[in-house]
Amino acid sequence: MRSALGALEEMRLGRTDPVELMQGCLDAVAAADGVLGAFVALNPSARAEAERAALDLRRDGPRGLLHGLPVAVKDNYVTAGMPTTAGTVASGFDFPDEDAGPVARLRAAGAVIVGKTRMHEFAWGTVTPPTRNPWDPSRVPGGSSGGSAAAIASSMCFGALGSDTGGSIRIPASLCGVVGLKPTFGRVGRHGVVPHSWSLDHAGPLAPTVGDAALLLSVLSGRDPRDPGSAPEAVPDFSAGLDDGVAGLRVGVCRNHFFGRNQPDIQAAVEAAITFFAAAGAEVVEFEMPNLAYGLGAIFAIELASSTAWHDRPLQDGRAEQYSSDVRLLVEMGRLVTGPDYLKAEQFRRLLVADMRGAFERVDVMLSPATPLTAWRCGEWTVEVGGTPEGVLAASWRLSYPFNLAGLPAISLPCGLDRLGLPIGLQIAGRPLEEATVLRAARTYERSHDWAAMTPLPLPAPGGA
Amino acid sequence: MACCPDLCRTLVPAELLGITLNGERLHEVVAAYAPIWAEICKLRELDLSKLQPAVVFRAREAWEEAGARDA
Repeated sequence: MRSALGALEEMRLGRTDPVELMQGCLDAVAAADGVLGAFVALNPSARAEAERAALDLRRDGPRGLLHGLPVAVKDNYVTAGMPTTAGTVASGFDFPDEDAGPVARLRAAGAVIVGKTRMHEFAWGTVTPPTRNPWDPSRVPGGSSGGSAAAIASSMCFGALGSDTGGSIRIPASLCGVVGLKPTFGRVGRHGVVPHSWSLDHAGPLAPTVGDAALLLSVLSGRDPRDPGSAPEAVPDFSAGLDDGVAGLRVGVCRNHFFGRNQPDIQAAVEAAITFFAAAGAEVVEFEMPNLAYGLGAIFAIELASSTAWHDRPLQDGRAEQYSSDVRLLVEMGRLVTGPDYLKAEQFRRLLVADMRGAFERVDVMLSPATPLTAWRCGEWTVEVGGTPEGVLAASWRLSYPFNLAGLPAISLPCGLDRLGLPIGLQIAGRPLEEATVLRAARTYERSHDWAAMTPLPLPAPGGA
Repeated sequence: MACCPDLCRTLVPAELLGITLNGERLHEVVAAYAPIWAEICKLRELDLSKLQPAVVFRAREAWEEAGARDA
């Protein structure tokens, strides 16, 4: 896994060029994607676009922050010149052959698209079949942006787009050992991103390192009037101040909900991270938010009702029967959520935001595991965490969805490996539009550990010993 | 199914919710929904009547967004 910033610096120094970088990514795809299945489609013009980027670079210099950088796009972002499926094989969906807002921003900054990454169908799940986890191909990559995370972890690209409704950027980032950043709601416009749940959907980047995520966020952020949820606020340079450290930063630890029902290795790794922040000069503040006990009902009510509204036509004309069984079940189930339940869940968000605001008056960032479990085996739909069996969706998004309900920025970054050698994710969340603080805390942790440099072992050749 | 008051009096609750699943499938969906319903029932215990829902209608923004779509 090579960093985007490193690749850009190598290009600046003339040690590599967009063609070589793209070829490296395509070689990695050729070597491993038969096993991993991270991509659903490759960009047929990838090489030609890289050659054009190389020519432009020699002639005119970089045209943007990402000039010549190979990146990947989750398959729920519409793209010009590449098909969009939103992870489904069901008939009757005809997504436009044009670039979504964030894709257009990547291209304008000079990035070259490797291809479209596989996702859990319609972003409604955290498994992403049939994609496999590069750290152990018998296990899931997480989801719904599982292809994006697997592609980065296996060096098939230097960054990727994801989307996050209840954790779909951070969960696969955590399970695949990469960085995933869900920005503040509205920070990145969603025009051209296939909706899942309008008031919860966030667009954002996955990347090899925190610095790479900051760079991508700088490119992706900004007002897009075509997205009603787009935030009008000015966009800072998210790469500025990354290395300023955490001395004096108030680091919050919410002891209920986020702790106590995690796998032991995860609990230990995150406790060690908390100790690190204290030693680095941060003030650790512990607190509780009892109302989080109501969050699961709220996120389910909103997400079920919203997705069922979006899938209304396929449900009525029978096309939903072509969906995979788990997704079909969820979109059929959404009819059971009543109108008052949905609105009560939206009222609950105000309560949760008030609680979060109260907590963030005492702290600057919140620390927790990103997921309570590491990658589970493919085919497992029930897992046991903390002695209680539960569905993989309810377990895997428990620590991430509160920040979708509140719309707050949150990042997952590598925090070591468990006893099976599987990545653990550390989650850091912040106040609205304060991604820079989140990124600074994350970078401080990252640069003091070597987790970002660790990569999965090469996959065995198909049919080989 | 076209909606009208006379028809409404003859419908069962599932049909009123717009559910067109057959009995066996409906049973499966309801069974899978049970643990989620339990979580939603917890939410129902809260008195949130003084709080506006997070999603509210803003006439001016909707007006301008409609213009942006037409452009």
